[in-house]
Amino acid sequence: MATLETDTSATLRKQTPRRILGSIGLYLTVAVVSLVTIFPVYWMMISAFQPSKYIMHFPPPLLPQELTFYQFAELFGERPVALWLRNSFLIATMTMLLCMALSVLGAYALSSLRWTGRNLFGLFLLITQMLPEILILIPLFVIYRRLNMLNSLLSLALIDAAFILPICIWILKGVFDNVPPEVLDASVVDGCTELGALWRIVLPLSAPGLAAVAVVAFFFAWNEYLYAGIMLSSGQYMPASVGLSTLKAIAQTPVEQYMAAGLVFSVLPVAFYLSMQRYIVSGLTAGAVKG
Amino acid sequence: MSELAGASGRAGRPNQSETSPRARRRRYLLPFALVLPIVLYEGLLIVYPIAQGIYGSFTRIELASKNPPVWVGWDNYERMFSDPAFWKVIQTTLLFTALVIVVALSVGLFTALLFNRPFHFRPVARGMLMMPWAIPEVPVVMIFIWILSPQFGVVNILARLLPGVTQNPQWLQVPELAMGWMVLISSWKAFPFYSLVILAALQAIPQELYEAAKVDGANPLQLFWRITIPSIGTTLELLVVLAAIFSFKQFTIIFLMTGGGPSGATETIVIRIFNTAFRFYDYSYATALGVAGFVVSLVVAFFFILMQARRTQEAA
Amino acid sequence: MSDHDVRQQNEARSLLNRRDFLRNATALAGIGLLAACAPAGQPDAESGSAAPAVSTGKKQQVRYLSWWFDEGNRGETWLNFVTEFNESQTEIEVVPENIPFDQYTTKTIVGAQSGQLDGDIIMATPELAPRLIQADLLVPLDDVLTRNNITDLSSAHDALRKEGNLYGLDMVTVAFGILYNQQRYEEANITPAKTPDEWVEVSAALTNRDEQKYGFFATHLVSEASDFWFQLEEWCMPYDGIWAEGKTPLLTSDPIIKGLKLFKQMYDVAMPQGADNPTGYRLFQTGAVAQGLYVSAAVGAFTKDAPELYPLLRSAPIPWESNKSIARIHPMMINKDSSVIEEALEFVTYMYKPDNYRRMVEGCQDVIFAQPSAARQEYLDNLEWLKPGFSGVEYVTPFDIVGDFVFNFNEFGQIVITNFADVLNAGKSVEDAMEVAQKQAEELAERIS
Repeated sequence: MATLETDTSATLRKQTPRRILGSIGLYLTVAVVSLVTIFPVYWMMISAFQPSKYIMHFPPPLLPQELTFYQFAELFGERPVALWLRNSFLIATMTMLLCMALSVLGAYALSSLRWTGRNLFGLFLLITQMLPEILILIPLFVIYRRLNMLNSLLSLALIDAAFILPICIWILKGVFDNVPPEVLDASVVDGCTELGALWRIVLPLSAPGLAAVAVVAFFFAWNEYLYAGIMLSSGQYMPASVGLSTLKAIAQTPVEQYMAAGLVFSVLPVAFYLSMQRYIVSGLTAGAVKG
Repeated sequence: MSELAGASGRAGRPNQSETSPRARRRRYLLPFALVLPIVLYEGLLIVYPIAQGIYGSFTRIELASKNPPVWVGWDNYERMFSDPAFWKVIQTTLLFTALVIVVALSVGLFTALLFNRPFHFRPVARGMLMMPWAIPEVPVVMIFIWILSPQFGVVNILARLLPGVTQNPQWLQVPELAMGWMVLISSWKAFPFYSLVILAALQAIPQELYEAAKVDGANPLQLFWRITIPSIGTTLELLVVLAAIFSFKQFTIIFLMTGGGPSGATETIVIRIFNTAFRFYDYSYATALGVAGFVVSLVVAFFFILMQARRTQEAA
Repeated sequence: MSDHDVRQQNEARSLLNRRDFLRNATALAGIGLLAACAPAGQPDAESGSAAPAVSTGKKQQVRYLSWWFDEGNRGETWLNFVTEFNESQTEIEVVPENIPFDQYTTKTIVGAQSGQLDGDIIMATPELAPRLIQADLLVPLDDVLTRNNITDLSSAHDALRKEGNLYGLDMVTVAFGILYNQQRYEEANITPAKTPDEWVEVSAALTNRDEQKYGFFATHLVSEASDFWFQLEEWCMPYDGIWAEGKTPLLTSDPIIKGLKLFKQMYDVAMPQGADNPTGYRLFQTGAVAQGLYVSAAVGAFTKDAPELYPLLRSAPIPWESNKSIARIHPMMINKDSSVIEEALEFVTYMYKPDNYRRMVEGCQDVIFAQPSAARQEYLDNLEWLKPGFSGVEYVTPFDIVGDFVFNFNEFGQIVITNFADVLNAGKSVEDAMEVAQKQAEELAERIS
């Protein structure tokens, strides 16, 4: 990445007319693509920060006419949004931790060790990943009720982690694959055990991969809607994805309050992503590069 | 697809010959010890319920009754295969999945190529581009329902610019339009992830390849087809499978936006399963549909695995 | 306008939640994480529930499941009654648990399907009730009537009996009527319609699409399936038809076809097409939509939601000859698997004491009394919108109009709305669409018999 950034100035310096035209085209394309991509988000913000009289009008003004914040106060005052967010946060955090721990084990076994059954294990993961979650909703519900595990955030996190774990292992395996074998060999010669090598050599080198796993697992659990709606029957455990969809069904929620809720719900994952962006790019993609 | 199945992992290191038998045994058992918790975990929460689900599909479960399920053999499957609605759902599912793969991956590839070129503000633009991936699905649904509202939706401003459009179209009430929007919205949500992965693959292509080809007088289009695409081929294949899995399982967006309508135009198998189980309360039949969905995705995945295996063979 | 649109949130409850949140947020940093996620029953988790904090820990707990504890005046009224009851008892504590309406049916059915109902006392919708009764999951409640000396009970309860036993007691009846915005009628110089045809004319006259004025709104999106069917079921009334008789669906019968054609006409001339339920509701709030078929329970909610609209609300007489409309009952039931049946009965008995029952209905601003003698004329006279649209109407229940499909109400409805949507969106004729629907409904009948 760094090398490309330094290229920028070098390329931009040689300005023949064709190049200028080309770069205008490039910037225009980038602008259009970014605009189209970001517009729905912009529109959510516009709708959240204005009184609904502007937005409930056709054609709606494209630029904000008036900024207000009362809808956020009303939202938090009238709905248990803080509780929803807390539940979502706990579920997502637990899912994330669980996935990070288990995917390290699985990825290491898939990537760095040779053993019979490795391919079988890979296939096993692939198959669990392909299953439409809804197929096992009722069997899981029955099992959970028998074990008295309904209405617990941890129980839901266990399910979420089970669904997203294969992908996490796959991401991390790609990253582990990129650790040069010589480094590992050297460490073993130095008297490290296999596990010691994982802990001391592979993991530190794979921090970005772990970050990617964290984000992917967190997003999945933060997003999850179907299971959260069924497994957590009591309102006090309701996560934000379900809470928000109940707002959708409540007709009298004012538009601006409704959009404000969507915005509030999006802030955390977006911030999480932005703070991790640097690592994710290298982490998520190591596997892909390896191909 | 062997990448995903783990077959092409890095070869293990040669064993040290001077290790003790005990250490060797420990080394032999280590991978199993590492994998065991995962297999148990996935086994308990995924595989066992799948088995239960498959069993359920051969029974008739009376609603809200204490009677044990009755074994009915292939009844549910016979009903499924003779149900024209089932075949329509399969069609819709495949169409939706294929369209999302094409749209999301094309946009992902296009933006990756774009962002592989140097320009000012690239980090900012990339941050913006990734936004849809970070926004959770329920807010995405909320935004788009509002944007597409026939009364107040902002997209109508654009639509009205088209010749002949004097009324705001009912975006989600016309079968073709609704399907189009489901594909667009799902792709909008998914493409940043694919773009990111493709971008990394692009950046791993050695620049010398391009330099050498340019010396040979290749034009940009040739560079693209002869160097870029082959170099990221495996990545693209992998993403096709991932995109297929993800879009096949897409539930929240379709369920909350159209519920499968209008006229079943967006009723994919996942939606159908939900409706059958929770609107028709026909649980046994729903599990049979679920098994069918599972089988379809297995077939698709194995097709890719086979393809990959053949290519690896050819290469060798 | 369905049951759950009538909800609002309970201020007290969200305060509790906020406090709960702050406390837990501080615990988040480390070890507190798991503790905060422990299953229900731990003291920490309990403080977040909707229950008034009167727990002594020694009383026998009775879990009462409903969707309405966060519905404005209805929620407040019920929570007050629970507190009142708990304070009067030394041995019993009723614990209210709120489940959002749009998940309530699904969750109950999932529970029932896995063989066991959740909760001790449960509220049911008219769709859910017969299902639970048929599956034999409930306790007979005849005792409640004996203990309270109740002799006059609405005839709607007939549907809640099985083999002579009564399994549910109606707590809320909501009825459909035409509600309109008086200001919009006056501006357009309109008087309420007397026939279906006049009704279409009136609605058309109230519509000006360019100015975003609409004469009428009803939910009509398949994505809002339960609301759509909930409202559409009323449309067998204009020509005095029924949707099914016994196991025979009557979807191609004349009154149904005509009723659906009427809906289509209204859709064409007066409705904001493609608008979802929330949009329709908002348009009614702002006056852009002039009238709608609303359930009486919704009107009470307007007092809080739309205080500027409420004084303008009036009801129009039912514009069809039969003067029939649908009333939906919501019975309270007791789970057969409960370990505290006697205690649960105690609470139901308390709520059905005529005096308590009347206070409850008035507190919720409902207008139809399951114990007719409990009604107080003075209270009814004060509601300006009540007459004539919600008064003197002949009410029928969903049980009267869908025959045996009452046990498969949602499935039946799904068939009707999916096919009817083809009429609205795909230009199919009502006759063709209902012919398909009829076949599908017949198949359904075969399957469930």
